[in-house]
Amino acid sequence: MRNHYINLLEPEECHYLSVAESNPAYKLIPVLLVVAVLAGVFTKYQSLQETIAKGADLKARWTEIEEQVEEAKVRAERHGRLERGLQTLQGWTGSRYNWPDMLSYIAKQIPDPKEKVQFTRLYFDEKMVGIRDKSPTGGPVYRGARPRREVSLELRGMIRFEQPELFLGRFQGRLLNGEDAPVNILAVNLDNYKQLPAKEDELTDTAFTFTIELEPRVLAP
Amino acid sequence: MKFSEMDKNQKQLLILSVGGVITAFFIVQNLLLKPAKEAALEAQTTIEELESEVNKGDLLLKRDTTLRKEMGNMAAEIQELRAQNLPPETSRYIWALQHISSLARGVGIKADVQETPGVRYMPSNAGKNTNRESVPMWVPYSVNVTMYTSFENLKKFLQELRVAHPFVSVGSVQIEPNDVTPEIHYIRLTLEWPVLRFEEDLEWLKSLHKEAT
Repeated sequence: MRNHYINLLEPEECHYLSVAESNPAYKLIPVLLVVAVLAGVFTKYQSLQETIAKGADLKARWTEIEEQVEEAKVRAERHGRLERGLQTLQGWTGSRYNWPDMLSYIAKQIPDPKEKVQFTRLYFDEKMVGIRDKSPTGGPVYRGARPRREVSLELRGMIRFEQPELFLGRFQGRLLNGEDAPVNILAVNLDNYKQLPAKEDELTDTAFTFTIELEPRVLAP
Repeated sequence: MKFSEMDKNQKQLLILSVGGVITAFFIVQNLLLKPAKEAALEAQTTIEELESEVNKGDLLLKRDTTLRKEMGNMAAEIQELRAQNLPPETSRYIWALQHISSLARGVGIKADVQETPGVRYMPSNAGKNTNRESVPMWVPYSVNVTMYTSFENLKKFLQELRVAHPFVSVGSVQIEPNDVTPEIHYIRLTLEWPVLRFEEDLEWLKSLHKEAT
């Protein structure tokens, strides 16, 4: 402690008191600071060591399992292919169109008088989208996509009738909305309608073509 | 207390202390913390790169046993279906000929059976290595059947075929009239069965089946 006001002492007689002398507890401050710094450094070092250890463990684990994981990945991909393969096979039977019933259905929908119509061609070529044909987008269809059956049936014929358009309209409606259709019919379009030349006293023959679009069927169980 | 007010001993002690602390700090920093930090940084990069890989890998390995079992079961199921209902790997044509002719005779039809020329599926890219995992396992094996018969007989034949061969598909149908005999039509059918696209798949299925049993 320094007396700023009255100083009667000779310089050598001056005695300065350190803070620590006035309060010994202050001596602890630098010690505590050092301890705190050391503790901080130690904690930081520990945390770094933990990260290093974790990295080393992960690396070791990866080295240990990498080959097995690669094999397992290949196996998982093959599992997917096998699963799709089995599902395709399981769906093959159920996705078939019932053609005997479909042919009967078409014959049943011909409106009376049936003898006025003659069919000249019935044709379809089933698309097997994903196996036989590319997807509508034209892109690669295989991965992830299930194969699908699609059929557009072409029915050509000739009719000799006073008002062929009425007959064909009825036929179209019956094909589209007839009862007991073995498959959902999406659309029936009259694609061709052509009246052929005839003698004056005879009824005109009319050629027609219907396209019957059936609901696609996915090859899945 | 100011530095100038300290005696010599105190000053020396203070300078030594400060110097010691700074030296200790640099020693700790350079010999302990810096290498540890660098190693930790490297480890952190490793962790970021590998942590999810390892986790996914562990999950995958955990599932692997189940996958193996499932694959064995699926292969067994496919093999069973193949053996019962699908054309054999060799001599498919004679197999199809026998089955179809027999069915046709049963409904009083004489059928001409020919292998469909070409293939009715998208071929793998020629000259390129096809990734087997990316293409369907099954492709159709097709035969063309030509016959002259009535509409009713055709329906009977198709019905018999449908029942006797659960895996046969009618790939195409063409019915046209026959001018000579109006009740008898010219009929051309394409019949298809699923067969394995790659021969190697057969061996693969067999090995999976064997592993499972």
